[in-house]
Amino acid sequence: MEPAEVMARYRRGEISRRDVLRLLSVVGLSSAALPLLGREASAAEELSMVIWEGYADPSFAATFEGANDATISATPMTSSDDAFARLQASGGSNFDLVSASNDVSQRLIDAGLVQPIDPSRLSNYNDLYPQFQKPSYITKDDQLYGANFAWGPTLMIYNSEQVTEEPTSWQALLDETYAGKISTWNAPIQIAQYALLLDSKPENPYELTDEQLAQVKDLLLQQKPLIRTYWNYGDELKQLLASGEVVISDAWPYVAVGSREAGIPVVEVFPSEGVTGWSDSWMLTAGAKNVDLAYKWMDFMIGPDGQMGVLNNNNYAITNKTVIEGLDEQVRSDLRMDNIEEGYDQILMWRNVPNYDKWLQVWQEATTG
Amino acid sequence: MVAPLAILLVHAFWSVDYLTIQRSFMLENFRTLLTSDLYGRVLGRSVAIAAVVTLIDIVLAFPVAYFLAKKVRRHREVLLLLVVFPLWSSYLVRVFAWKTILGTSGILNTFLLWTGVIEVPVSAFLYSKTAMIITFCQVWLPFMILPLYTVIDRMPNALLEASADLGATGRQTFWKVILPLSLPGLLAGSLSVFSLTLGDYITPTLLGGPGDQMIGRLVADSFGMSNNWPLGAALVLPVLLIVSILIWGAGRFGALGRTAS
Repeated sequence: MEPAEVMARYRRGEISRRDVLRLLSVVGLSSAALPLLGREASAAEELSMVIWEGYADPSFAATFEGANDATISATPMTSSDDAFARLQASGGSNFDLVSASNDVSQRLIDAGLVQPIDPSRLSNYNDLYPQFQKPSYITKDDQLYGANFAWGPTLMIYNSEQVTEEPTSWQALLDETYAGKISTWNAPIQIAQYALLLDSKPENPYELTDEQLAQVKDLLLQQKPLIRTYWNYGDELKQLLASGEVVISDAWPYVAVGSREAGIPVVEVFPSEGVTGWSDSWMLTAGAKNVDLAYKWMDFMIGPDGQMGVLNNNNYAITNKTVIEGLDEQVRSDLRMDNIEEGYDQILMWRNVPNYDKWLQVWQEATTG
Repeated sequence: MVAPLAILLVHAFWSVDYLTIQRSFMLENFRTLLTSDLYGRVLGRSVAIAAVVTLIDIVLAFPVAYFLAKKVRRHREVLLLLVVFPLWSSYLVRVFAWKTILGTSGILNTFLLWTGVIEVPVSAFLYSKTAMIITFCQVWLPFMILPLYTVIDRMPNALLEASADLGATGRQTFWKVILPLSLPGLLAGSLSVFSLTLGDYITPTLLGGPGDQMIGRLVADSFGMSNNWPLGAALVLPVLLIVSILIWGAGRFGALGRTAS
């Protein structure tokens, strides 16, 4: 290969920087060529992202880092609103990627904090189930804004040693029996979950009238004296369960898996009123600095290694049809993936809430006051 | 120094509409602050907690400062260093340390169970106002000890001896001589401790219970959760006002203290 051709292939991403350097060092040119390779030449490229916990776990992210000579710098978020505020603070330039859920994705697009992506640059894109290829929550003006890679419910979990009678309703989070041992996630979107407990259950828990919001607020105020503390991070809730401060809470499967690994007898329940849930997509921020690497990460995360990583580490359902079909039958049915369309619809999926400013106010007044 | 405050002030009169900040003058935020009972209640709670913490720190710091300044002759530097020593560790680390001490299965409960003082672990140590006040008192104590040490150290021993020679009891000497002369240091320390406590949101978030949150938390949530910068800016103003009045008042008292000496 001529040196010029080597450089051209490097720029197209067909060969890695490491290969170029190895090649050049053979002819004793590496020091002379370093400036040509750009700023990445001095150190591994750093991909920065704001994520839900577990989405860049070393158990699978290390594979990506090794293959691309990159380092990942991941900041966990406490809620979708937290992620939005972090991106808003810099106009979407302090992170390359965000693992946005379907309640905030539309807001991120409208605020111009994320940019459209080109699915032809994702080799695993066509393996996604059709419903995850171009879902409405990451589409605007027929342009795609993200790679949908994981989804799941916000369940109820409890410590089976402390809670002996299996709870079947969200009412358990307002039960005096567990006073001082209850926690709930500190996120305004949880209003939808508590709306499921209203006497006249709303058709759609994401479209609540002022009156219904006031009723939910009453429920939350009634619950407040029973709450030990509101949890912000999943790892925080794991800690609360491990130290015995909390015996019952709402949680993501991530918390249940992690707690069981730590030897705490945590059981998940799908309460009779139904569950809310989320569908998460990698979105490219408007000011992303490492666009090529970000595409590689998105592709990795909808491909076999990333999908299995999220499944094993977080116990979340995934979106790649080929990977799902290769799974053990038990795993598929546990995570509602044996019939994706039906399984997905069993969960009341988050969405952009029209009167969200009121939700924020209700949540803050009820939990902070 | 003034520019950030000016930006803050201007924001307080703007408002948010879906995603954008409306840059037109309005008093909307202040109406929200006055009409909702949330903000007044939280502000009142914050002031009360800050006052309690300041008083406790005065009581704790005075003997330590007096001892260091007047009683210790050797190794004074080492002891002073020990006072400052906790400041070398991160604030977060110190707060987390209290979490492990005060938890239901924490050090304090384990100890009390072991000694037989209690039968079941006390859960009220953590996620309560008690936990917040204990933590605040500990982390801000050096800010009270150091200014007090400085004024007491400069106090001429002759004055104390004169007081005793003229027949004053120890208590009278403290109230009539030591305390008035310590006033500048006392005010400086109280201002630091009071303002540091009033604006804090980390300790309430980590160690406070659901009904114990303070005004700093509401400000942080306005920026970090609600994405309502104008409301957050408006919330800061009463805090700034309170602290400014205190600084102004302390300035006047400090001047009085100087003429008295």
